[in-house]
Amino acid sequence: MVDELHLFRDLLDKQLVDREERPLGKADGVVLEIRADAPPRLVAIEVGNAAMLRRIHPRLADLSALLARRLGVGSGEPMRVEPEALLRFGNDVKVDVDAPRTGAYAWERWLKRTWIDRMPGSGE
Amino acid sequence: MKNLLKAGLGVVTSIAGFIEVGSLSTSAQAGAAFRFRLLWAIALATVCLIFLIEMSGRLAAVSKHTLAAAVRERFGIRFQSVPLGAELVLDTLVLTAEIGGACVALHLLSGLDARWWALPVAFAAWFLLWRGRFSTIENGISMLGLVALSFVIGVFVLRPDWGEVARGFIPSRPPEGSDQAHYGYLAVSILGATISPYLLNFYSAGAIEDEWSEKDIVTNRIVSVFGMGFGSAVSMGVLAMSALVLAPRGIRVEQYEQAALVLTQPFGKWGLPLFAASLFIGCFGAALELGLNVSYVLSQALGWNWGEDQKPKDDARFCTVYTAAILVGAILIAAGVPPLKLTMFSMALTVLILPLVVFPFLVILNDPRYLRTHRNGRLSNLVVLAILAMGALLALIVIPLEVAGGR
Repeated sequence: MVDELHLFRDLLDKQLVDREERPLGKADGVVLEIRADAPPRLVAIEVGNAAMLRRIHPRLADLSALLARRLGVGSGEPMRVEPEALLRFGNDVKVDVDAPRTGAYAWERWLKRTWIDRMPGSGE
Repeated sequence: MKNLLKAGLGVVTSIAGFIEVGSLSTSAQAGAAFRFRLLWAIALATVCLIFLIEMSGRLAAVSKHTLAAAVRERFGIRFQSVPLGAELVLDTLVLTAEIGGACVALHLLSGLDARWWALPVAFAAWFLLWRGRFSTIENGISMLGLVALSFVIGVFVLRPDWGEVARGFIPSRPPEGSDQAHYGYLAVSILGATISPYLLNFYSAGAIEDEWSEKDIVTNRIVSVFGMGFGSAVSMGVLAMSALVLAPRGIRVEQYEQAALVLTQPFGKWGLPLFAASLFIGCFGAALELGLNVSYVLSQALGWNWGEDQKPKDDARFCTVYTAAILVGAILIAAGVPPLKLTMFSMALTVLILPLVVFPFLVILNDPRYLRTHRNGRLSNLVVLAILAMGALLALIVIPLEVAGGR
């Protein structure tokens, strides 16, 4: 863990990798707690289409979440990574999760289940 | 031998820049209408492309970041959403045009309506991406692409006036009484069809796929020059052949059957099959490259797992994106959308987004966090600034020129 980080320079939009160095996604958003008598505190990093699209236009984020729910992909809400899970900052940001089991891989699992696994030569 | 294979990335990249359907038709039109006078536009586009390609490869080799990933990190998603969105549309349109070009090549050989070939061509492209490895696609297409050198050989067979050819490399006004707007339109088309964002992204992604490192910086420089030089030579060959064969007969290139005539004079009965083979390999190779590129840019900008060498079950999102893009292309071509109309539209879109694509080079290629000691020198920065200025100018004039000078 690090004691200090620059949210824009070191974290936002950076590539996140899991403990096995597999891509988790980009740091699509950060959640801060605004405290009255203390500096803001990092609560979580958000990963997922809804968090990313919210930065472009809130309506796009709503549409993305709606699509995910309608198709049964998942809740459509972004996955949250707590600051305690941050392991390393560098070329990528390493976090202590198992990427394929997280919400960040909801679309990957859905596509695999829906058509990729049914095709010959997909690697199964 | 290993270094020779690395040249494959340069050659395959240049095929989608110079030997694809849009570039081939633009060069043939330019030669037929203005003889050698637009050679300078190909030369200028080649120099610009060599610099930008070298920078994309250097970025990947040193920082292990592709261009799309670095732009996301350095500029954020709000900035990237515009060029990314435009590039996804552009890639799909050009992919469609390339499927169409490959179908036209098969039509020339078989006589069967081009639209009937749309699904078989699209399926073959998809199957190669689904089952193939990056090195197979890269080396296979670049080796087969050598057949396009027949355009260069043809020029030597027909023995042009080399003085007139050399004068074509000096930018000049079109002759009195000729269609000035069409001349301007063709010059912008050559630049727009050549300096395409997908080439830059594809090359940087290819460098990561091929596991380039800092040790490959010199190789990258040679591959950029050699690869783009190859494509440029073929493109100039098409223009020159068209100037030598079509211009004296007053033939304007409006159909591919007319463009095919350029190789029948030097090669006789082999001319048409050689033209069709070059067109097919160029377009099919470009279709593979664009299919991969649409998956690359989206995966890299959004941080997904990606790679042509992974099995489809390990990068389902990556495979789904190229599958969807190829399907769209196949449907449009089967429905009768003409590939040349698509290339006109995609060329204008390329020129419009060029400044947004080139500007990040100024920042990222000078950032020590990415390039460490391999940052841009003064010359490279000057070239990027010049391309940026040219890109801004082209973006302003492309729409009026397309209206006034497009055919």
